[in-house]
Amino acid sequence: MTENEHESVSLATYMKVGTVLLVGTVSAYLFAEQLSLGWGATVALIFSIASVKAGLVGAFFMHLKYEPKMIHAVFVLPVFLVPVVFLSLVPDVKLNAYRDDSTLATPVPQKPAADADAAEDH
Amino acid sequence: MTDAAVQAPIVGPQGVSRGKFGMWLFLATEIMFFTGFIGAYIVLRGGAPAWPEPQQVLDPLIGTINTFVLLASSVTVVLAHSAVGRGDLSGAKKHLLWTMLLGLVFLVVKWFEYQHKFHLGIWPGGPATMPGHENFIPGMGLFASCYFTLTGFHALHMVGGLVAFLALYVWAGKGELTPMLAHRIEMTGLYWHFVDVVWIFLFPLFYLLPNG
Repeated sequence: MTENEHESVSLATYMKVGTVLLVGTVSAYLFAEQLSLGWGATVALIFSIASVKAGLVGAFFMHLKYEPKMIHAVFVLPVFLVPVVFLSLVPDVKLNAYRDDSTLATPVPQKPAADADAAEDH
Repeated sequence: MTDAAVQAPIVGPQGVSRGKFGMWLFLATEIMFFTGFIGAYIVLRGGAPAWPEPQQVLDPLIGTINTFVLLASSVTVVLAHSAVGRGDLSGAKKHLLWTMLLGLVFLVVKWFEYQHKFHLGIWPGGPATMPGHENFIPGMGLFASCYFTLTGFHALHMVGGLVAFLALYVWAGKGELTPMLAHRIEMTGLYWHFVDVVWIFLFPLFYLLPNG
């Protein structure tokens, strides 16, 4: 597709995509606030909806669906890196080193007073 | 009008203008900019001993309505672009005006949300982030830092987009639909949609995501 061919995308298509985006937003709110689906299901649903919405905006409003491969090549690397970055954080969050109260409760070794004074003299 | 304003965008052999290629390169860097901040948010929230539930510090309904407003502004941008494609300058101006109005509504709502937080003493280092304050909730300090940083940068990006749209609106007011004006409306629209996509993820991250 050339520079301006996507200008022929119909108004009806834009309005349909806009309607899906609005319905998706309300659905995410209802899933999270009105239904008790459990943490895992809620998280999966609201971020699946967000991903679909982002995909629709990219494909139709940003015209990625109609752009040549040259444009796809520009953004494929950062889009690939986003989940890589987030997945690389999973071990950090799962290990929860900050939440391990036992490490905080471990007394810090103190130097004997005489050694400390000698160290200060130097 | 300057020569630069009336000339057509330079289109390369792949059928992509230099401006569009540059805008996509810029957006690629912006993806990583927000990915870094959201990654920090995930680590801080996932590792924090406690974190406020969204309903304790934010109103998810207001967030939903504001998301609605921002998505509507994205629709008006594509309608402006579509009007440009038909050679309808007044239609393009009308939709640009709607886009700016909806963007302003989003920012005004965000400002009232910020004001409410300030009133409660919630900001990075604010009194409600300290134990003993009447509005203190464990994790409030980290929440405030993440919330104001991410939504603040998003709002700044929106201000940049609104300034660009205002410039285009003034330019369009000169009464001539030049190829370069059409091109710049499309490029600014790309940027605006990206800002919209960022909010599509910030909204569930802050307003909907419950504590595990």
